[in-house]
Amino acid sequence: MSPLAAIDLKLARDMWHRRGQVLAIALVIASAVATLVMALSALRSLSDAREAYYDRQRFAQVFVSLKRAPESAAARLRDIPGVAQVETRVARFVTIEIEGNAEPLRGLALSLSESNDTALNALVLRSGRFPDPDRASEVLLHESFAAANGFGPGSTFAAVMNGRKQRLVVTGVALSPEHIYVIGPGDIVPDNRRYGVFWMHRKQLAAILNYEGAFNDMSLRLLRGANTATVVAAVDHILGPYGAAGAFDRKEQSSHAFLDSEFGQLSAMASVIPPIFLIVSAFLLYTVISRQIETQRHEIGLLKAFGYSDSTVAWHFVKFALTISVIGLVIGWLAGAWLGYQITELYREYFRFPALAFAVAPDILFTSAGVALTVSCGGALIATRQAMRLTPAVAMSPPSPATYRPSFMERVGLLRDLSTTGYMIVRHVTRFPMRSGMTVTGIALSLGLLIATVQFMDSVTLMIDSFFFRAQRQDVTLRFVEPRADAVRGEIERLPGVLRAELRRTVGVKLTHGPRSKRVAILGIDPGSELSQQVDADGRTIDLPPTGLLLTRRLAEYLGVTPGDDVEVAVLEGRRARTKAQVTRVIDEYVGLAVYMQRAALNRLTGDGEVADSAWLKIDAAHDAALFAEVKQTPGLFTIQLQRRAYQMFRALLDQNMMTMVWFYVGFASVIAFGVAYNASRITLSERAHELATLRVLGYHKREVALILVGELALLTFIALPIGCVLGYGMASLMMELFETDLYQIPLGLAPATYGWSALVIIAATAVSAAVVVRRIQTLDLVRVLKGRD
Amino acid sequence: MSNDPTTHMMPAGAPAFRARGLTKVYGMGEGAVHALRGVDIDLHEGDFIVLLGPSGSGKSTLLNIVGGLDRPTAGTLHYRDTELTASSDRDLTAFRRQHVGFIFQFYNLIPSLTARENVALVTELVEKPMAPDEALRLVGLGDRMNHFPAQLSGGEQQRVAVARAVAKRPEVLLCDEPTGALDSATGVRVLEALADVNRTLGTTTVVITHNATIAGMADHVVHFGDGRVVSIETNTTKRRPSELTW
Ligand SMILES: Nc1ncnc2c1ncn2[C@@H]1O[C@H](COP(=O)(O)OP(=O)(O)OP(=O)(O)O)[C@@H](O)[C@H]1O
Ligand SMILES: [Mg+2]
Repeated sequence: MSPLAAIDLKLARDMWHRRGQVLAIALVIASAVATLVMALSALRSLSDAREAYYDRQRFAQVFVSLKRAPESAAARLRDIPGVAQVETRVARFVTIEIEGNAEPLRGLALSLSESNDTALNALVLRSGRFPDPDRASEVLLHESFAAANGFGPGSTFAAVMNGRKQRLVVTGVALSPEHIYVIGPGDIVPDNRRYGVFWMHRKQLAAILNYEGAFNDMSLRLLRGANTATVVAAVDHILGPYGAAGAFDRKEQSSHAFLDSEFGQLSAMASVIPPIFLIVSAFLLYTVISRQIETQRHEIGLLKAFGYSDSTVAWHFVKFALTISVIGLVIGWLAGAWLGYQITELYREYFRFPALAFAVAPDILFTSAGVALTVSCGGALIATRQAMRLTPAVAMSPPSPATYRPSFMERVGLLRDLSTTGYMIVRHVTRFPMRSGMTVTGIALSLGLLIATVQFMDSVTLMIDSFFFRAQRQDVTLRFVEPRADAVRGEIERLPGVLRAELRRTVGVKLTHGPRSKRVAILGIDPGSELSQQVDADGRTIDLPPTGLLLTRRLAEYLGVTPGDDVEVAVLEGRRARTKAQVTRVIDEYVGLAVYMQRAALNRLTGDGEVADSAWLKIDAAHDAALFAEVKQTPGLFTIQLQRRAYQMFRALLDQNMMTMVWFYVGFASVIAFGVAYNASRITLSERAHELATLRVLGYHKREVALILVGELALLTFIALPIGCVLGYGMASLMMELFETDLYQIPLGLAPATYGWSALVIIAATAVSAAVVVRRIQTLDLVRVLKGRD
Repeated sequence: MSNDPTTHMMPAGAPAFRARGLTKVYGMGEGAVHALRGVDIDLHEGDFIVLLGPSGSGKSTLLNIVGGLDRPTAGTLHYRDTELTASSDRDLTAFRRQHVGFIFQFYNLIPSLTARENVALVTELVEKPMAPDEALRLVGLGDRMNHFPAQLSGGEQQRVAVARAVAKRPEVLLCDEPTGALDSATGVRVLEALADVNRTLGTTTVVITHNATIAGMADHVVHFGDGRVVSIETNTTKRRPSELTW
């Protein structure tokens, strides 16, 4: 047998001997690979499914809604250069009534195309049939509402359209690429029981709404290579006179944007979490291999004396690292595929695709393999530099006796009253600063990761609390069919159970500053509002200035404006005024891109006089049924949006999904902490077995000897905890920034308890690893120790 | 000189250790090694005993069993009224802690502790120890107390080990080739320290050595061979370590 074959055998025996350490490191690598495979595969599966869906159903690229345009205007749209196909339709938000359900329900009524086979945004029929063009009552229902309410072909419900209650019969259930994520206007969480989309034959819906020969909603598809911005401008030019609220592309289409935001989170996950695991695994491999080189210096010297090259020797140790990585890789692939499958199942509840299959693409497996193997080889190679430096002669001589000196802290006069074993701990830790540093870093990173992920709960809670308890404190929102003069207040205050009513006005605008512009809605509020508060970055309530705009931070940053700057305001409805307005304050609000103004100033800006389009109400819950019933009877009052209910739903969603996620990360972080701590204590044990056995000979009890091992780990953990808290804060800020979209900006809301709980988890994980290693103290062979130096 | 082939009794003093039929077998079947083949011996309080014998004859095995580091395969061992062979691991540890000082060929100092701290390691465990400084002065290392083992010569390290063993004023001192790694002059210094302790504290002392010259300073010399006590000599005149050279 050649010496190398022998040493390969030794490699295998070493790995078996160190199987605990091998497994611990492999698990850390597996966690990196699993996260990468899970996030990237889920991302790929979702985005492929979306692309295919869009393609097959001809999902439009530009969208616009307007007041009313004659069908003849469509011809002019088709003539815009770059436009491939134009689809006009009639759309209307309506109130839905279901027998036996007193709650206010909302819906979106849409007209069907002439031919679904060639239409843009074509529907996918899931069951039943398309409505008969000649039957006024027949509708196709979106699957989300149908499933939540147990509806199918043959079910009936009613919708109040144009002031008249229409009895409707479901002929079929369908899906639409426009509504993969179904969310009601103004909602921040889907409520499939209370909001639904349905389709009617164009002829029938137009008849009900008096839209014969006209449309109020349009979407179009572009020719390949067409410039979206130019087409959007042309559409605005043509449809502007018809009350168009500004055309927009897919990025602002609600369902598409929500999917985008989910994709963003998955890719943020893939880019933040795996690197942490990989850094830690490189550390671990470095320390394990360094220690191996230390104990195998004789074999290394022998190999070199035989004439084997440095690279051959290095390769031996790299093989050790590669074997561990491959074990981790395989575990990671399997776990990642399983997790990806699970998360896709979860997505199926929120995203309505005709088909959403989870698949792991080979290139993702290759990428994860490449990254994991490269990083572990890196850690191994750095460690092997040590072996390269050994000359045969040096390697054959016994290691120079361990030299120690008083630690830095002792030299500056601290630690004077430590017990003798206390000094043993402190000096060992300071004698190997590199290794101790890596252990501290590893534990700190695991704590950081845990804090950064668990704080998600805190931050999202802060976000929704700020939304529901500051920005939108109303119990319900009452929308009017048309803007109403302020006198409507009296009418509303007389409704049953209304404790307080505040009028609101919402106006769609396009804000422009320099090269940047954004379509947003300005919310007009009266001064002294109790149901809505705006606060600055320090949490102080801001009084709404008589003129000028309050902008959320993200919007102000996007437009590049600071208080005092003017922005151009182009009103996208009514008289379509264009003016300038001053940004008076920048506020901290996290849901959407809110813009506030005094209602009176907003009304002046649009030139509409004293009007409101909605009212925010505080109500007496005991009378809500009476209120809902009364609103249904009152013409001109349109829909009721239940703000309180939305809050409860959001909380429930959060508690359910986030808790799963939190456990997931507790597991991940524990793996790192356990791996790092186990590795560190195993190495300490191997290095100090002789000393510990000597102590046993001298009459130290097992417990006292174990305390030295545990004490060292406890010291390192103790140092790591504050560092981990700082890292956690930094990582949390980074993640929140990566997760930020126009839909949500998640504020950093790290609660003190999160630090505490996370630290407890890490302490528990290190304690478990210490307990596992301490069991080995039982088997220390006292007699063997006395026979030799090592 | 007495030579009793069955039970080896040494005159004078009460027995500190009483071993009967001590047997130690390593391994099983064909490859079994019989390290001890039935050792009967009494070791008396305050005696200085030297154990001589060829390599592999079982000296270390016996010493380790006597010190509570190992257990025999068969036979009984009493320390005063306690049957060590019937004691738990915990009790054996307590026995070592309270009563026994060890010195080995390889000094087994803790490299991360200074000379004084290596001694303190043991004095922290017992009720009325010497001060570590006193123990180190006793072995002539009063001026090297704050040095780490790596900064000391082999002889100095062994003397630290002696100081560590005697500092707790043990009733029993067990030494396995304490001078094996030392030159003659240094060895004499170490032996002097042992003799001092034996004389002033009345410590029962057992020293294993390959150096027959050392036997001159013993009260009794036990000859060991093939796992058995071959003979026991009693010196009528003990020589001082300084009179020994090799
Ligand atoms: N752990 C062990 N496993 C198997 N055999 C052992 C073990 N320890 C000792 N032996 C054997 O027991 C016998 C006695 O060993 P011991 O160490 O007691 O001899 P010794 O008299 O101290 O020798 P030396 O003078 O060389 O130190 C030897 O043959 C030795 O090989
Ligand atoms: Mg021996």
